[in-house]
Amino acid sequence: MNKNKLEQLLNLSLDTGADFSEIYYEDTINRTIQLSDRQIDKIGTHLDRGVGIRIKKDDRMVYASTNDLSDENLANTINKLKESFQGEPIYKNVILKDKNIYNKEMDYHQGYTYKDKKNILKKIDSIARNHSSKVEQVEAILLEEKKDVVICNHLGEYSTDKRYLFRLIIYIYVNDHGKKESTYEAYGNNTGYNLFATFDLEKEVKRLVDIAISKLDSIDCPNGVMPVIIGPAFGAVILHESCGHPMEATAVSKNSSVLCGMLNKRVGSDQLTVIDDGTIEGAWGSTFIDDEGELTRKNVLIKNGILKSYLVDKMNEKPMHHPITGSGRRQNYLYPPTSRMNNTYIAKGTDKIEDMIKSINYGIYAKTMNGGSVDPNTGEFNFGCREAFLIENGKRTKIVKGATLMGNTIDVLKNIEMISDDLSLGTGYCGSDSGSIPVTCGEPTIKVNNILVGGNK
Amino acid sequence: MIKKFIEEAKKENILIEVFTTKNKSIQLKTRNKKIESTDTSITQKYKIKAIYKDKVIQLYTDYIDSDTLIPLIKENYEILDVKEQTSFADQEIACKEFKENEVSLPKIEKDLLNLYALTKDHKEIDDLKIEYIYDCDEKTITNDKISIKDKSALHNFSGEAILLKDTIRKTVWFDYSLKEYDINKIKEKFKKEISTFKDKFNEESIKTDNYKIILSNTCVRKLLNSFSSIFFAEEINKHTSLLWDKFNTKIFSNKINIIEDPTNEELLGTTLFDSEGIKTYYKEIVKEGKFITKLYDKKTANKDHVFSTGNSDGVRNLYIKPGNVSFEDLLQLLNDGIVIKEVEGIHAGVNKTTGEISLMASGYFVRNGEKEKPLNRIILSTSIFELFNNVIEIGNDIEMNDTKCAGVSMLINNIKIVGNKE
Repeated sequence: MNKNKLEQLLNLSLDTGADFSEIYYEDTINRTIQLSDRQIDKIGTHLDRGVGIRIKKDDRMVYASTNDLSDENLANTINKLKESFQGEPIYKNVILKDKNIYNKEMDYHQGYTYKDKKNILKKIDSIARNHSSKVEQVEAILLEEKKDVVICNHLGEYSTDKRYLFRLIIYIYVNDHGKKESTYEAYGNNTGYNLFATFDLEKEVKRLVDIAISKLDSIDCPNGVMPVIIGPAFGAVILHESCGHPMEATAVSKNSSVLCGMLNKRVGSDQLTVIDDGTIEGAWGSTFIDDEGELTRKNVLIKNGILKSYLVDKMNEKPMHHPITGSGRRQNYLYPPTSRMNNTYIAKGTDKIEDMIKSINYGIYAKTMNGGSVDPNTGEFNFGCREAFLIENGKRTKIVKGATLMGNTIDVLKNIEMISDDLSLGTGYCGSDSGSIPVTCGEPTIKVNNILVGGNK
Repeated sequence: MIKKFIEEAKKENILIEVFTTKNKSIQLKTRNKKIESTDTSITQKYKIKAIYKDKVIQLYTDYIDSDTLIPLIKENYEILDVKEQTSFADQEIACKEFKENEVSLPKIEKDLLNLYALTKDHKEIDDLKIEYIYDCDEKTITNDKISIKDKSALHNFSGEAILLKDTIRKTVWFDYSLKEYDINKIKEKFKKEISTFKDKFNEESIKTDNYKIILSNTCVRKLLNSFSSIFFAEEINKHTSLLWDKFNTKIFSNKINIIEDPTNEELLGTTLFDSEGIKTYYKEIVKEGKFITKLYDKKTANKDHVFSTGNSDGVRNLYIKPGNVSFEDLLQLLNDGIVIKEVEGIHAGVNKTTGEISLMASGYFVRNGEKEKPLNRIILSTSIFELFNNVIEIGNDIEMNDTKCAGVSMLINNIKIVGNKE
């Protein structure tokens, strides 16, 4: 897709009076290598190449996507799209000029050969099985992705990005005389195999095996309203779901967010500062530009409990009278972008986890979370715990199973009583209107009062 | 292009089969009686199955380009350990007649906007979004022996209503899928849905206890979908399915019969063949509570020396065999208890290793067979074994909304419901 061709297509799209036009092109190769049953069992390779074209006039938007990149098909696609509008052109003779260009090739394999990659996965299997005879199955998946992106628009802005993603997921299944349990963990970055320099793989695999084994002795989780300590890293999925999504312009501009009209108002306790930062070097949720061609940035969303910013994409900039935040994201060319999160985290506090546990007479320590869902209109959420413990008389006691946390965003933000100093980030995928995208959730350990805990005790 | 690629690969001793999906989709979004956006997508995607020496390599691609794909097949061959004896599709399957049922955009726009007229007496609606999606797939399998084809389409209407009373906000989602475009059916469903809107403001929680419940057809469909992988031979052989040691044993109540039938034209997931060209057929997976059929693709079938069940793409039209009792009769049989109408967060609240279920739910309390009060902020805390073993009666109200599973309402005894009421 050269600039001349893109200019022709943009000009064609604008000649019935559109006030906005954008072309997004991507070329992606994504490979997953999966170990299961002690061998490399599956390899999935996906090659995506296509175009998404977005045209708008006033408050009506039309979008088309196709992977037939022939001149004839692209012209036909645009001709059909522009039939939605009638009028004299507002923009003519678009000439593309470089705006935000990132085209640095990266060797994300970093010297790792196919053999090395296989060996990493097999090493995970043998560490786990050697650590305990209760390990019944090990699955491990390596994901490598390279995505070239070009975005241009009616203002002549031409931006490019080269994006890399790398991820390892480990699943451990244990069996003790027919009683089974499992756990998993994911690790990711946007630079490649140097991920393995950031943690001790052997120690980590053994830790996961120990968690799965400890779950074999879990008791049914008690239920009721009680204080809950939520662990760091991916524990912040609660923040992501219950606080992040309601800050997205998609919900706010339509008055369908529990945080509408709250800008510069108190939404959380004094200690609470929440940031969404698409620029964190090496982070799984970072990109150079967003999917509208804007530079990503560090957005302080809540500062000391006061809501300071929403996450805003180009379509919502004018209706919301709010500057864009470099947050327009999409899964691929099949989706128009919407305002989404990148790397969202709670800034670290000064409390210690030991003091949090000591402060609770009866409650739950949700050390790691599975994920959950939220209604951004009302702020009501629910989350499943992956690993949770009972707290009795100021001490962490038994491991519990089947723990679900249920609550309301506004209540939780105000009920964060303690924030520790152990901030860390966890990787995941977020699904929403514009598809499934890589995001990071991060937080230090936090203590929240009065969450409804569901269990089977 | 495909034939040329097959020929070029052959020169490199690579045998190729291509599964092509041509997709056309149209999405129309409306909000508060106005058209907001229109999305159209036309794509052609290819799943390539390559047999190279003693291994099978699969690629999923937007384009066919021998110079890119052949080196990738060779690279993946080096990484993959598993050797596999397999074959390509060799069964000619006659494509059924497919009536193109795409509806013109102006008609859909008019129909969607007309749905708003049904809400005129509902002042509680603060914001309303209604969307329509048309999704049409044409699937073809091509190898050097055969070329078989199938086509299907689905119309989906969904929406989100934000309700407001004083300062209290509530959200309702709705979602209906149909094979044939029928706006009158949608109107009926939508009317029924909005008649429950006012109840949302009276919702309350409940005291934690064990209750007799009706699990709605929607909830049963969602749970069946979530647990469908437990029936697959791949998971069973790796001992990652919770049914790993349960084949040919009784796992659920006698009343439970689980069927997968991709040939059933009444359901939404009808398909002639899977992506490996295996002709689909009716099969009983659980019969009177006993697990009798494992699901296979070609790879796992070869390992177990059996035939593929045509499940290389997962399940299509998986359902619990309906009973003879209407939903109204189930309510009478419930007498006093809880109807669980919806569950949320299935991806996080279901443990597929142990079968445990802990899900946020909503519904209503029933007294003397009549709806008494709406419920929210409750948690369904149980397991798949408990639900399907404590079943008392199965309804005949089959509900379908996706191509994978359909659901029927079930009357179930003694299930823990957690609430925050003293």
